[in-house]
Amino acid sequence: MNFNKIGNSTKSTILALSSAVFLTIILLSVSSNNPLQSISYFFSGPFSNLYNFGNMLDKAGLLIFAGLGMSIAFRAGVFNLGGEGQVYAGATAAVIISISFDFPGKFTGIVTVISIGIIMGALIAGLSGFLRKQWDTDELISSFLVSGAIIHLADYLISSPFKDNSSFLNSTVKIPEILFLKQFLGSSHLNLSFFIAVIISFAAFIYLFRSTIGYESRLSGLNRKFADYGGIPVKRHFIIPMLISGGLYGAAGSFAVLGNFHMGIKGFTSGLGWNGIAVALIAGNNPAWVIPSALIFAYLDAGTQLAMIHSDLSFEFSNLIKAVIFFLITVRRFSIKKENPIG
Amino acid sequence: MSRILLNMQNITKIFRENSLKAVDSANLTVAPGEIHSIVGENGAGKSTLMHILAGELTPNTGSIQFSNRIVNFKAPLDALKEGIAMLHQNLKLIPELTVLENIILGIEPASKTGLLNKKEAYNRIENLYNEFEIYVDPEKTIKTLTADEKQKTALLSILYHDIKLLILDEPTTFFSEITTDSIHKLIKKLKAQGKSIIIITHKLKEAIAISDKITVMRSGKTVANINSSKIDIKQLSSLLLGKETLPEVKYKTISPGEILLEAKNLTFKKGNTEYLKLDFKVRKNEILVVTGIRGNGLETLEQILSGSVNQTEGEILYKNNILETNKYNLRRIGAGYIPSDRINTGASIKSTISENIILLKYKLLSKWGVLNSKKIKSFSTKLINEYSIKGFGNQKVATLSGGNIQRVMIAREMEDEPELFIFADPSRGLDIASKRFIYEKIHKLKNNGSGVLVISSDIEEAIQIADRLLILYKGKEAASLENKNIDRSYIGKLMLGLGE
Amino acid sequence: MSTPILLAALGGLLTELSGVLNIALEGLMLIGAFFAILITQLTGSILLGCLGAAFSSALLAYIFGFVTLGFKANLFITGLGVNLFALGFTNYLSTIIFGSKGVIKFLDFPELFSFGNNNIFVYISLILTGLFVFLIYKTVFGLRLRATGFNASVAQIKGINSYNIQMKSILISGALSGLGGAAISLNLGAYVPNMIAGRGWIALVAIYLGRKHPIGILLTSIFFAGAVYFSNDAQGIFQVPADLLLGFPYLITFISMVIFSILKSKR
Repeated sequence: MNFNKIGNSTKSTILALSSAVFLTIILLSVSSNNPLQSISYFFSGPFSNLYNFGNMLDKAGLLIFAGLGMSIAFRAGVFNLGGEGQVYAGATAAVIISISFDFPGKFTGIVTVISIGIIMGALIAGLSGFLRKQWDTDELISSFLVSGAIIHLADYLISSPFKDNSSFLNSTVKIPEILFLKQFLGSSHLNLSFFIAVIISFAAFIYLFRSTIGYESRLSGLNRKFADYGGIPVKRHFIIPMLISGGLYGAAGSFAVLGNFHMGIKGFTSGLGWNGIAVALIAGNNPAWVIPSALIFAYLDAGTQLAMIHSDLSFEFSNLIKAVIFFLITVRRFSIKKENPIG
Repeated sequence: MSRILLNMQNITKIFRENSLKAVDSANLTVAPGEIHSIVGENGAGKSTLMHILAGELTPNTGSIQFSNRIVNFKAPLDALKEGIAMLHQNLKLIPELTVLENIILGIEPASKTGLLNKKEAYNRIENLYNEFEIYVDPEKTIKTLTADEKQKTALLSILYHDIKLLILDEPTTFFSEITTDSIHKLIKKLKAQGKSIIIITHKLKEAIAISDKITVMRSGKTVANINSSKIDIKQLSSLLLGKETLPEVKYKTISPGEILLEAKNLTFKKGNTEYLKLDFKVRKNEILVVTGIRGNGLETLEQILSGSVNQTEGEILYKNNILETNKYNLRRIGAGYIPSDRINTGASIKSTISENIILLKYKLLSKWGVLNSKKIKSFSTKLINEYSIKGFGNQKVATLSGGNIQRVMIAREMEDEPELFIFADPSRGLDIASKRFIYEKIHKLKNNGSGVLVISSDIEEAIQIADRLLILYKGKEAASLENKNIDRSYIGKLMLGLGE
Repeated sequence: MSTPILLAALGGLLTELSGVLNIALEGLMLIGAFFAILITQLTGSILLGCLGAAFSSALLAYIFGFVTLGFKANLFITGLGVNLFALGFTNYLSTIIFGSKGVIKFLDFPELFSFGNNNIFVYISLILTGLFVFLIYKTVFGLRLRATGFNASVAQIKGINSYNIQMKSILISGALSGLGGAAISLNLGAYVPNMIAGRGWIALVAIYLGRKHPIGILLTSIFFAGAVYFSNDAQGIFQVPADLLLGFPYLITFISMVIFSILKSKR
């Protein structure tokens, strides 16, 4: 394969992922008492039994939602940095609605709860989009700040008014069983949400690359002046992508509750927001690649978790791995040159 | 003196994007204290050759000898250190900084601790004023200066250094009359000091009047090197155009139809300055060219028409209805518009040709909100063929040459045969063949019933395609003429505000 | 109070002026906070602790600059990477060295030198503010910095290497953010996970609200600190739950940002 023919972004993705794996191996070897065993757990752990495999897929499903959300935002040239808050808000809203009302039927109940989660996420992100449209407020910072505030609000709700006082965890009571998403791979958490995520990614692809709105969005993201000049209503595409992005994050949160946790626990969705960004980046912000990207990421994540559990490691290095990925994945120049060449 | 200051030999420059030989085995010799003009048409290679000399581009072949040494410039700063400086058409000034800051940037007089020594700079600037009679207030920010003052600042920036050779790129094209005079004075003074000056110009009369020697360039080659005293304009002209002149194309004349676009007392005022105050009409079957020297209202006109700026007074009527000035007005009336800011506004270089070309049509090429890829493909293929665009539909626009990018834009805007077409600087930076192509398309459009408004600061172009000319000076109409047997120099005079 | 924000904001100002938006301030501060405690504990000297904090953050900032400027990586993503790295790395070191991921507090920890009601960091930051006014507007470095930020290609033509200038500003930003982090942890005498609590982001907003001028930043930092102080008081007076209180700085900063944009757009 001619190395030069591979696009720069593919190169950097390969670089980032291989470095991540490499770093994981090093960290495992260095900190574990039995490096070989840890490393083998890292690579084969997620496939070792149905439970691990199913959980990995389940996590991948949530990551697909998050990754799609970020991809759509990125393509529109909009930066949603509030994923953490939007997921958590969606999840918390889902929990609160679930435990506060009686639902007559499984289907209506689940649809209602998920919808509420989506709306929560969408509104929060949409706020930043609106502010950008209206007053040119930087949405990157505003979405992060709102998310920061919301996280603490949700923390409060779970730890205080909705707390399950009989539990020693900072958690709420369990949501009614009628709302549980059916688990169908042994005792793992794998449920319908994974398949819904897959379907949504097809929808996202069609939206982004085959629809008129997607076209408008993408062109606004690539060159806003050009889109403006062509008559595309550019202002719309500050809000719409944020709404969709937030909505998908909110969906991830609600599905996590209904399919996985079945209750609210303080900080339970933490990391999904940042992971969504990672997944989108690995996928090159293309919905077509989000599924494999999410699977890869879920695999790496699950592998590290299992390796850690089985090797008596006491620290979390998922943030370090993510940092490496973030550092390397947007690299676009592969030779060291300190001056800008001219002519 | 028989000494040689500069000797450029066998210089060739090929730009990768279009494998065009911008400069082809060019030669240039300049003596100390000599005023040397380089003349040629647009695209002849004059600017490129000088950019190489000034250290901004590296040649593919050839050598440069300066002050009896072979030099190899890797950056403009290298050339500057040797004493070679170039004054560009697009002035390299930073608007947010002051005149002083712009001048000293990079060579700041300072103490050992890095503290700026502004006093020294002030003194130096004052000396320059005394010597050359060019003055701008050093404390003003560039943003607040007039076009003339900006040019003067750029000049001062260069004179601040120890210059042995000064390159001026079309210096008097954009100056008012007063500044033109001081430029000529400056050139004579530098010559008296033993410095050399190279002037890039297409004004043959001026070249003959002011230079000692003239080099003629054509299609990248240096075809002649003559003493200015031994040649007249006619001979110079024919050297310039060469034997390969394309026969002048006679365009059909049609009598103009009804009024499409009308501007009534269109005014733009900011503070105390009136940038524009104009009335004009664009009729069907007619090409109206609004022309003038840059900075005299052309840009303002374009901004108002495209809706990015609101006029302070007056109105624009399209088919007798008032046109609101907002960003989407031209699109709403279905007008075609190619902006002067091509790369940033007129195209999305990271997108494909198809995506660029369907910009105005994507809604029609779709159903229920979903794009029809078959229709899109046939649409772009059709246009690619019709407009001879060298590329494929799914090729990224960034990989195309300038001329081809222009064709993509034209294809997109003209495809619908809009009734009103607005074109800013149609042939700027293009080779002769592409220019010819564009003019043909514009004429075709006009003959089929459209009204075309061209905004251009290029006199030659204006004369070539206009049915009627509207010449702007300081934002107002200096003259409105039919394009019949017009004298170039007459138009030039009008542009400079020298009346009948 | 406002000192950590001010310190980080001043550093961020330099990078901003040079054309680099630095969203890594939070992570850089965290690294500084951790290393300040670590090195002070190891050496017994607050001074060395501060130097260690500044140095370690500058080092991380160097990597950030190197990857972003040298390899054309996306500024925002690498900035986020720095923040994630800081979280992971402090966690890692904390576990390895102290055996715990939680609060690190020592007995016999050196006290911060104070004069009146304010500790030394306050004075340092005030001095730096004045110094920065001078640096930005009256020195060669400042001029070149601003030129690069306004128009890097013109500056390039004048022989100014944008990589060098931007890198220098990134390093200074790192050092100052580290110092800001140290101001937080040394003042407390302990390291608490997530002790930066968004102040790096507040510093970023302070840069804009302060109209990108050191004095403006000083005023906005004081304003933000005041707001946070007030909210701490509120806990006592209004019985506001602790969790909600933690969200208050974010809220205040957000609202300020919005008001600022509204005012700006009306101009």
